[in-house]
Amino acid sequence: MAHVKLVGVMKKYEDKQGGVVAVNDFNLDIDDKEFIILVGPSGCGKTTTLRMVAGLEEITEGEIFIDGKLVNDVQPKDRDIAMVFQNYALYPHMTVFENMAFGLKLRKTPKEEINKQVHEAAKILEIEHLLDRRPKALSGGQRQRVALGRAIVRHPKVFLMDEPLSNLDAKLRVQMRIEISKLHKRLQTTIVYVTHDQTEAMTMGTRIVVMKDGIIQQVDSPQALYDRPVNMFVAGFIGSPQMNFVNVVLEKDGEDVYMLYDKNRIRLVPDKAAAIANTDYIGKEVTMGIRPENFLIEDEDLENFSDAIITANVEVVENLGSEALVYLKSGDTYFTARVKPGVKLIPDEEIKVALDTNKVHIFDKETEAVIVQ
Amino acid sequence: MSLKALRTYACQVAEIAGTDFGVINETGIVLVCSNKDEEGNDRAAAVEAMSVSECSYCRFGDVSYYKVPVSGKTDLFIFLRSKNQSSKKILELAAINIQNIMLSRDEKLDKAGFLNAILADKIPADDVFALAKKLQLDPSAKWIVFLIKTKKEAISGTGEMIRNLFPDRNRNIISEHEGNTVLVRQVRAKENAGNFEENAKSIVDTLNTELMVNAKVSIGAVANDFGEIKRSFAEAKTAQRIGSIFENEKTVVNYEKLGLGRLIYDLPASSSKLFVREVFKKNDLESLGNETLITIQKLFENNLNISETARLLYIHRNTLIYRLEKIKKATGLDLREFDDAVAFKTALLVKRNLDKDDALNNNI
Repeated sequence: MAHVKLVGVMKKYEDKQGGVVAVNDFNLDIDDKEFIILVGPSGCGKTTTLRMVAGLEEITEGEIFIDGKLVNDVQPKDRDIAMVFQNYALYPHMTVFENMAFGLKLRKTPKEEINKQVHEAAKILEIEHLLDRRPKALSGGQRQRVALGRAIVRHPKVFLMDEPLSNLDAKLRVQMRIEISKLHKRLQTTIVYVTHDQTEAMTMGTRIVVMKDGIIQQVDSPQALYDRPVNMFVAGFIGSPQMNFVNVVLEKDGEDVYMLYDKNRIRLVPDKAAAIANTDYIGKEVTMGIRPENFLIEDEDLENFSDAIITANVEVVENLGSEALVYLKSGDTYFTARVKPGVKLIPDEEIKVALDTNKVHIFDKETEAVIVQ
Repeated sequence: MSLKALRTYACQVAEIAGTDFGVINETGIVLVCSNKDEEGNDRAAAVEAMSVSECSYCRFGDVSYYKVPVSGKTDLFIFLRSKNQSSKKILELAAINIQNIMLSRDEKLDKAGFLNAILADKIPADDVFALAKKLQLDPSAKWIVFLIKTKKEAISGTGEMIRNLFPDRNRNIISEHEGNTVLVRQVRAKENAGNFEENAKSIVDTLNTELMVNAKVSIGAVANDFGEIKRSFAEAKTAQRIGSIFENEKTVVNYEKLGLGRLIYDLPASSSKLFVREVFKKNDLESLGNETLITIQKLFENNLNISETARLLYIHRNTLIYRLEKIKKATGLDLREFDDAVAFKTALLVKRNLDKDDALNNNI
């Protein structure tokens, strides 16, 4: 259990052309026992950051502290960490017990201690009955548990996990997601977890760090990221299907502010209007963002949001059982709406859709930063 | 076999036989004995008599002796303080045991040594097949070379770990050569480059997580038989060198996937410099900024597909086009055009190669 702190951390690959910086000015405080997720698209610097915490990658600038101790020059094996990576391999000729014990043996841990640690970890992972088996006789999930066991037996202060579930099939991934969350609760330890999968991030983390181009975009709880993204990148990355974006022109009419695009005129709710009415954005083009579930098609909703109605053509309806996704085209703009299942919509039909204007986000078109949410 | 191990063995045999058991070297000195007082004693007379005798078993007084031939010559003799009929059988069994232990030790040593001798060109090509067969390796099978680079102090741990990841000794040879750990693995039917890269990634991740050391693995092309192993090793070395220039952030480099780097690596510096000047003119690449350079990288990775690149970068298509316009203004190259993109990409790699040369020269 430990507190991890990164201060102004930067990583530059010296030989990379033009000095492309993989991670830049990374500042983060990870609390003791926190389950923090680094998420972002491929190449955003999340793995490099994790590897710098591990000590497998040298940092170009900045400082990393584990439990208050500066570890910039500390060897990985002396950082009191344990890692679980994507391409783990078990030793094929060793039993589960021997696989879990191998790292401790290398560290010359006494036999009795190894025995104790392995049995403790096996109990936590519920694989005690498998200790005498060889990897060949294990299922994918059981193998994954053994890989976790190898990390647990070290009793580290911090667990570092880099896409540990990527090689599993979809069903097993969901199952192991729950297992790792349960494990975090049982172990009461700090976990830094890297993934490119926003669903994994949203379901597992106590806090999420969204990264892009080596820079932190936002650090917050899953719900806060979903409800209050600070920019278009975070808004688009978190949530599936992703947030819909459309460029609109803001128009002020008395106390009211309207968003105009194509032939549509959408009135902002008073508090959002008040926040933007006296800014330079009036008369200019901005980007409106709205989540799929904030499109409303019920008659009652159309009445309640009568000044936020657009007309759109139904392109495709995907009925998913618990919900339906409706792909709409309004003017030149495509939207995805999430509605109740069993809704009677026919492709090519023109329908009226209301926007829940309490939930719209407005972003600066150039900087992509949020203006109103 | 160490004396300690031999002594333990002698005590075990003595316990079963219920009497003293010992091992003598070819000069007649007792190396180890279950009765420690016997160790160092001279039994040359018995050894000399046995050496000239054709029999493997002899008895002198109340002690029975037995020859232990290892690799065709007699280096060891064993004895049991007993004149019972059963003593011959006990000694025969003990001799077989010792022979097997010695043979397995020699075999282990020889496989790594054999590989090193091949890599150092110390074995004539004509002998490679015969020696491989002798070591129970299939010389006609396909083999592949993995070169594993870790910090110097982690090499012995790396070797041990690789031996455990690839435990079949007749299909995997592991040795240390020129500061690298070398794994030569027999290729299984239907295996391809994807499997080899998976192997390499597993090696890297296991070294990262278990030994907690950074590692890079380069892979040679498949050797069609044992005679081509040296070639596969040289290719893995080339991949390691070229990878360190053009793909330094990658932990796995495959000789068969070096791409343009393979060509550019051999270009002369003078023409390289001319080419870079021609493409970039006086523009300093760093002035484009990190964000722009990442954008370019992603555009190339996605075959100049604007929509796909924008999607992967999580930016609007228009934002990407705006950035590309900025690059065009700065360099005169429109990266949406194939010819310009090829010139830019090639010049980037050539410059990287030149920078590496400069760095090396500076180091010298």
